[in-house]
Amino acid sequence: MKGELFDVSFNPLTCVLKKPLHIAQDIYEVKHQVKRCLLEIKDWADRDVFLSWSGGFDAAFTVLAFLELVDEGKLPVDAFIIKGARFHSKGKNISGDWDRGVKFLQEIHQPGMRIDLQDVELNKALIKKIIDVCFKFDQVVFGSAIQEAWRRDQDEISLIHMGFPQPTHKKDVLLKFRAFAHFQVGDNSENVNIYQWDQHIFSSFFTNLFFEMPYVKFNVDHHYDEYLWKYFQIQSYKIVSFLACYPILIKLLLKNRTAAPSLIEDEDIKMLWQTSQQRLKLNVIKEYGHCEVILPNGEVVKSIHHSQEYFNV
Amino acid sequence: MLFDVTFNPFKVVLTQPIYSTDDYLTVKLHTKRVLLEILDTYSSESINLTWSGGMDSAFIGLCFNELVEEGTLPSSTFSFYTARYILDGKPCSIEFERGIRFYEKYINSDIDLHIYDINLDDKTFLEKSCLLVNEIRRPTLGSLVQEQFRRDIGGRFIVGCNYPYRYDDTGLFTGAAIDQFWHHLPNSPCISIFDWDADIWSSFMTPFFINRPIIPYKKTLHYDKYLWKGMKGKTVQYMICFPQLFELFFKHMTVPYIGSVASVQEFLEHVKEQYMNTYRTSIELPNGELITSVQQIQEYFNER
Repeated sequence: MKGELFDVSFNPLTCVLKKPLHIAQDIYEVKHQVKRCLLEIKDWADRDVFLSWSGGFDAAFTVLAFLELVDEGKLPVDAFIIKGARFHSKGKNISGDWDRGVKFLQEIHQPGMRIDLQDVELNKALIKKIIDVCFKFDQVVFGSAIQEAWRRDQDEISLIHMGFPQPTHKKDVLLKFRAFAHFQVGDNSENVNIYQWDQHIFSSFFTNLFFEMPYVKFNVDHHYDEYLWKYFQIQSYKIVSFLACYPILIKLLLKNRTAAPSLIEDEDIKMLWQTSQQRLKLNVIKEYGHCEVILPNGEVVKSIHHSQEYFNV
Repeated sequence: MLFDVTFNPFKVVLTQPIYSTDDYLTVKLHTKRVLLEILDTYSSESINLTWSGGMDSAFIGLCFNELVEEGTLPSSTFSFYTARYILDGKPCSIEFERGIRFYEKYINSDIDLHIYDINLDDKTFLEKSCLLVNEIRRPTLGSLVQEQFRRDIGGRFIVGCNYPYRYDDTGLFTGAAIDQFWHHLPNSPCISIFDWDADIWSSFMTPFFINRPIIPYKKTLHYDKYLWKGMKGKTVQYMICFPQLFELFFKHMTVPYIGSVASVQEFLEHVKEQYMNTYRTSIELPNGELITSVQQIQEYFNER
């Protein structure tokens, strides 16, 4: 769906920047930009839009920005639906952050809010859809794929928050993406990706923290858990900024797995996923592959300044 | 002094109005300012900085480093002192080595760092440290050995152990622990930087500090109790000021509950239970009211 910041194609993954980027004024800019984009997306959409809810930081940040717009009288409380799925296997929850997220949602609830939280059994049909997603995007990440598979069954436009800039820690490479950062791409996609709505919201992530936070390799003695540290390594600049904007988000720190295949209770389904995963790994070569973002002339985007130079800003 | 402090019973009274700030960087400006003021105030004495490998000492260290890099102070103004605590023949804190690597990477090499090996199997040192409990009833070995180390070195030390802290949601400063006020004891070598005056203390009064709810540790969500305890407002603020401090994230114990000191830690835990109500307090106004907001503080002092 709509998105004019990047031209993206898959197999192989390529991502071309179409607009110049800039440095954020301060750590609060991202909040102002999310609020602006929510208003624009509401105007643009030709039908209902739901804010995709997982119980994680990004979903909660967007909902808090939405509620601030409601408080300011800029949007009615029913302007968006808040919608998410708790995935379970034989009744056992496989979504690590879900219960905490539901509690959070209850605490910030306002009368008139439209909330649709679904219980979804992880069955063969859903596994098949997850595999389809992985093949289509040439990537295998269970937690992201299961959410996309579920979103495809929804009637409304889904507002997602993916593909924010991640520090590359590589000289002369400003940005790189995985395929799942672009779930909004494609004629059949019913997703609108708020973080890539335009160059202004995308640029609001470019704080000094983005550029200056060092790369720190996972160390089991210091960092407790590899998943947790990987999350901090990539997102710490954003987490700090989000916490400064909405301190209540401390309730959702620290991140746990969105959906963990290891928690699948149904042995048949678990086996099906494991065998499918093997097949995917053989066929989907770029399992954790990234592409470096390039300019229309094919040069890798080296820096913010480089993007501005190219677009003659 | 920003606070009036008494120890028997432990009581902390705010004496000046404070204010809030939206600017997370203010704490850096004030820390640098206060370093200069401390220097003026104690000009005739030997003043040093401590380095533990944790966020507070690294933050102060980076502020001093910036003053040196800017040419405001010569590198010889302060030296750093650090203790490598040894237990059963090995360094016992994983923060130490990480902290030294950080120091070598980010602190000007012209600034002196003195490293002392402190053997925690040395009963004399351990006993001396534990006896500090009689002066200040903070039953945590990590904090006791650090204070004893400072006393043994001599001279004065600038420390960052007193900062605004909320233990629960009942008030604004409900977590004032007794060892944060070492500097009010006549024998202590500490000069406390973050409560030097109302301005630096106020620089911690950010939206995150004021508005964040206090979430109790939950094993299924928060991985580790000590890790969760370390997620403080000042940690976020320090990283905004100096993003490189991410390298010292997450926090670990200075002296873990291991080896021959484990029994000492357990004994101190027993003391902790006994004195539970005397080592932590909520900072109050001169009229005895519990402080619940910045506005309440301002209203109180405006009326006078």
